Amino acid sequence: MKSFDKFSEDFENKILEGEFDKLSAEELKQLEAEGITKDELSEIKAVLLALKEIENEEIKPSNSLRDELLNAFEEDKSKRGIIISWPFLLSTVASIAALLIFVFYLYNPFDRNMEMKPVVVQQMEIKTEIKNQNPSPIISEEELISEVDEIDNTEIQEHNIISPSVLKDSPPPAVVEDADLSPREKRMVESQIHAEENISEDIIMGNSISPQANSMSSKMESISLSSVKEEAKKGKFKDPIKTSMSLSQLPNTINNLITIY
Amino acid sequence: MSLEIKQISDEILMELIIARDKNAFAELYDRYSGRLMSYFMRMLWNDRNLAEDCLQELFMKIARQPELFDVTRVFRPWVYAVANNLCKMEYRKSSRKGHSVSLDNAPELSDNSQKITEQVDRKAFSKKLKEVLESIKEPHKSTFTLRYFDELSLKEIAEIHACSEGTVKSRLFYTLRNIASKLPQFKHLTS
Repeated sequence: MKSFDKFSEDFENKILEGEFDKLSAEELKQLEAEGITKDELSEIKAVLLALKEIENEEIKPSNSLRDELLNAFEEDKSKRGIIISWPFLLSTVASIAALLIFVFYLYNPFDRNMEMKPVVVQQMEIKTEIKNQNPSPIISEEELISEVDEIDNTEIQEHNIISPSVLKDSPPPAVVEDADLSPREKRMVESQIHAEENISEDIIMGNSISPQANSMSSKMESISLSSVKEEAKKGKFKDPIKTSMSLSQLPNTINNLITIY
Repeated sequence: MSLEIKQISDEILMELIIARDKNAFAELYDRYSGRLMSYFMRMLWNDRNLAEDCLQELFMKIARQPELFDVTRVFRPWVYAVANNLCKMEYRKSSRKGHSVSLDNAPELSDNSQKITEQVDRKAFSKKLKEVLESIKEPHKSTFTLRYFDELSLKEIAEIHACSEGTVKSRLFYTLRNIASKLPQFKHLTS
């Protein structure tokens, strides 16, 4: 039957009309090769002509069937209520699945390598990055001291206390060698040094400075540095590399601490 | 409204049926009930009751699950494919009862009928043709019926049977040749 792949509607029409003469030589050869004779073609033609008459017959179903089906359609409609079609359901499920995959991709609970950090730490890191990208203008120590003086002046005016500038001009405390001092004098020197250390701690923690403490304000920086160094030696700072900090870094450190806590 | 709905394509009607439009369902029934009833009759041993049952089943499927039809496809091949599947189910049922007869075992026309060949008209031929058709096996029978009774194109038949157009052509010619060989006494009708 392979040779009849070219069996076209045109070929059908030629047979139906009994116009075997109209068949091309190639078509006739093809038919002969298949062993189809003229008689056989006549029989086929007879069948096709008879089919023309039969095909006009259309059998109608009973009228009651129509009413029955329409009633069934109406009943089904009232039963359904909200129509949930398959395409709608599938699209909904697909969109939910896509959302879940996206969330899973963002927060993969099975990924052990992923470092989970608290939100506050992440925010701090972002802030630090921004600061590194846009570094704050460099303020000299003198400018910082003048700013502190201005703050002090306002406090002095408010609390009616001695100006630090006056205290700044006062002579530095006498340094007495151990060998030359009596026990009473030694105790006095120790208490003075202790007081200085307390002042430095107050400065670091952001406390206000008393007028007496301000007498040592000119040496504030060196005192604070020494105290920070001592604290570092005791292991109070977590960073093992940084064991000291300058006074100019102090406001930044305080700001960072405030942001964290 | 009724005029408008008569101009709507089958595919749009199905979309309306999915949206539960009763008029669309009625229109679709009116368009296809006659054709499908005839198809079932031819395919199911001219059993009217059985044909009507199958027709009812088919339209019930459309009424209850119209969304099974893909609205991007053509309706006619789809509905005939459903009808063809219903016929296959009936064949399976009947094969258990020993109803079907193969083409090879088709009854030869009696000698008596051959003697009166000269007097019979085309209607008699049609009657005999129906008898022979009853004996044709699937899928040749449905291919032949769809082509020559329901006037479906070769492409549509290929879609219904999920085969190539070449296969449809060879099936048609094979069936025609076999039917013609069973009815040699009628070849004078061509003259």
